[in-house]
Amino acid sequence: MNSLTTLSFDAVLDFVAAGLLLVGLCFMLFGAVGVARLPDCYSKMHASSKCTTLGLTGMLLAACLHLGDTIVVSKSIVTVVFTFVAMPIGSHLLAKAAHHVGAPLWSRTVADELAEDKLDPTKAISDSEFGCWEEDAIPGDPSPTATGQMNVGKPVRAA
Amino acid sequence: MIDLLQNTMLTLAASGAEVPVEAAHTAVSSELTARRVLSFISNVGIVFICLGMVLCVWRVLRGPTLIDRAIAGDLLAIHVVAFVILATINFQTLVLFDAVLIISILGFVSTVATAQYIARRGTAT
Repeated sequence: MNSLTTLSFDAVLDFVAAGLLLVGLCFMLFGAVGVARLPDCYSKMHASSKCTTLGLTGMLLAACLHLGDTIVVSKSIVTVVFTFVAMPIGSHLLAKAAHHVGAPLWSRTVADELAEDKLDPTKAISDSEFGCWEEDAIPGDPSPTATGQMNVGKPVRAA
Repeated sequence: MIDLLQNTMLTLAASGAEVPVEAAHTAVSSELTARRVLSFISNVGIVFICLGMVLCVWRVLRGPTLIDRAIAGDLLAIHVVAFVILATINFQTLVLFDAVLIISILGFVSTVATAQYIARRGTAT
């Protein structure tokens, strides 16, 4: 009978789950401290997205190992895959919006290559993704936005 | 494992045989230790997660720009997910586990919506 050995299989699984849970919790706390303390919204984004993916993965692995249920394992796999796809997309959109509206950089930032490329006319990089759509156009306005096209290359500022 | 051992001991006791108490105690003690360690770490984790939530709420309230508030709100949703996972481990129940995927989807959708809103608004503050 297997249960008469000194270290059973369930005990090993629980120890591994405890270690993974501790690692995930440390990542979550580091992410929160980074968001609270870093100077710049871009560096805050770095702390948030990286620590979130790793921390959530560690905690979900711990839950899988401890509970060991098919429902938990399948839902954890779906959640991890979704997090690894969605978190970079959300961070990318937020970073683009931040650069579009001109969020302040840290005073010791070394380079801002996107701003240089936007000023370069040969690169043809524009803010067209965040342009002005049809429903924002004023009626009777002869500008290109009134024709239903996007307002390419002209960032929309609030009045 | 503990339930299986308990059933075996009860069967042995009911059949009148001698119960191997020492061996059973050795087998169960490692598993109980592991369970105690896991429960201690998840209790400490509740403190960690609450501390992280306080930091996120502080950043949401204080954040100089809207981008900082959006990032902190996203991280707050992830902390709620982590809290649900800790409750699942602590209470040994599966009824809360549906909330994990739903809250992460809601956090992603709110992040995207906030990014579009900020970009269309045109100012960072």
